[in-house]
Amino acid sequence: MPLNANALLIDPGDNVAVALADIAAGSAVILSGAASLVAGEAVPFAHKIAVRRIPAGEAILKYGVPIAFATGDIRAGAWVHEHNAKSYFVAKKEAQGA
Amino acid sequence: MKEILGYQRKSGPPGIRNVVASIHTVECSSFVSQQIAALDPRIHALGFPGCYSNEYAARLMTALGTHPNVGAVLLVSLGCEGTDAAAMAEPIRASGRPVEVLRIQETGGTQPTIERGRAMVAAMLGELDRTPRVPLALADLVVGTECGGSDATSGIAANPAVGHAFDLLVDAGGTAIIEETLEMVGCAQIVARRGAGERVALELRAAVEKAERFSLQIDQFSIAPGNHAGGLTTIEEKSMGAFAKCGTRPIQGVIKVAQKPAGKGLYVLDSVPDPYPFLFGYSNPNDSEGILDLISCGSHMVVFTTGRGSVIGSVISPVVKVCGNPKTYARMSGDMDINAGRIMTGEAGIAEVGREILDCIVDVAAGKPSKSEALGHREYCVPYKVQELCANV
Repeated sequence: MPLNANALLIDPGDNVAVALADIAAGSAVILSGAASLVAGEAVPFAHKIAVRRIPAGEAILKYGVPIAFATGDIRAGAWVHEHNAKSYFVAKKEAQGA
Repeated sequence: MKEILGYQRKSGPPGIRNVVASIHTVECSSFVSQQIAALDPRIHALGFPGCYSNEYAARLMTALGTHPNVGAVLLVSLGCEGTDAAAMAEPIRASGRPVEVLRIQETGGTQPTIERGRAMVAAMLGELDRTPRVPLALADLVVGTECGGSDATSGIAANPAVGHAFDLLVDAGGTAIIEETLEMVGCAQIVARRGAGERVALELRAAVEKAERFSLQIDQFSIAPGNHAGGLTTIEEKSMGAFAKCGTRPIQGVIKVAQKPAGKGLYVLDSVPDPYPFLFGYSNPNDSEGILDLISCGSHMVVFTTGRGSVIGSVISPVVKVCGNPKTYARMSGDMDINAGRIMTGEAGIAEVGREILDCIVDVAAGKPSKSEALGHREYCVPYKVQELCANV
C-alpha cells in the first residue's frame, strides 16, 4: 500500500471504504495508489465512503458482510452514515414492535 | 519458519512455557502463595479470592493447573475455605504433573508454610529442568484473541490484521479462539452463517442470542452517541469491528470457560454467565478475566488488540499486544509488540501486518518473551460465575 492512501477497503468485496484521515469534499479518495474516486462531500476520519453506487434497500458491505442497508440511493463518493443507512437488527426489532 | 521447541507433558498437549503454578484457594492464603512464588520467576502465583466455593472457579483453576504451559502445581490453602484443594489436586496429579497441597492452618502459619512451600517448588523446578523438548508446528498451537482499550482504529487496523493472522494460523492447521459473544450482539445471523455445519450454526445463534439478552439486562445494548460520532453507523458494524479479530474461516464450535476445543480450527468462547437462577450476574469484569478465560481453554498465548493503550500481560501464557493507533504506539511502544497503526497511516496493508503478527506468534512460541512478559506483567482475575459446560464438546 502506498504512503498516500487516505482510505481503506477492509474486505475486497466491500462497497464502503473507511477514511484514514478527514477527507474534504471534492478531494481524491486514494485506496491503493491511484485515486479511485472523488469524495462528493466531506468524510470525517474513521467514517465510511461509498466506493460504488448503492441503490436504496441494498446492503452496505464492510468486513465482507452486511452491516446496514441503504435507506436511499447512495452515489459513489458519498458519506455513508445514519442519514442514509440503517441497521437490519434495529429494523427487525422495530418490525417486531420491540 | 523458526523452530519451536515445546515442553512435552506426560499427558495432554505440549506447552511453549514451563512454569510452576502456585495457586491460592482463598484470598486468605494469597500472601503466602505470593511469597513462595517470589523464589523464582518461573513460579506464577494466581488463585481464587472467594471463601464460598464456586464450581466455575474451581473448574477454571483445575484447567489452569493442567494447562500445557504448566509443568507442576502447588495449591496453597488456608484450611477452612469452601474450595477443596485436595479434590482440585486429583485431576492435576492424574495428568502426570507433580502437585502438592499446603494448608496454612496445619503447617503452622505464615513462615513455616512459606519455608515448606519454597522447598516444594524448588524440587518441582528441578524436575521441570528435565522436561523433554519436542518440536512444534503451527498446527500444534492454540492462540486466543481479546481486545481492550479500543478506539476507532481497533476495528479498522488492529482487529482485521489479527483476523488475517488467524486465517493464516487456521490454514496451517492451528487452533484459534475468539472470546466474548457480547461482541457479536446484532450479528447472530452473520456469525451463525460462519458455522461449519448446521449444529454449529445453531450453537452460535443460541450463544449470541444469550449475549443479547444479557446486554439488554445490563443496558449496554445500543451503540453509544460517541460510537456514532466516531463513524460507526450500526450495532452490526460495531460488533463486526471486534469480531474481525477472528478472521474469515469457518467456526468449528462454541466452548465455555475451561473447555478445550474438540479439534483444530476456529472456535468461539462463550464466557457470558448463564442466566442462573434469575440473573446473569457480571460477565467479564475486566480484560484480565477475559484473557484468563482464553488461557483456561488451552491457549498457549493470547493476542490482545488495543487503540487507546493497555499494558497488561497474564500469568501462565504470554500476551502479545497489537496496537492500531499510531499515536498510542509512539507513546507506549515499550508495551506494544506490533504496530498496526501503520495501516492507519497508509504505510502497510492489513495482510502485511497480519503476516507480521503470525511471525510474532511463532517467535513468542519459540521462547522470545512478549513485551508484557519481559516487563513482568502477571495480571489475572477469577470471579464468581455460573456456567454450564457445552454438551457437544
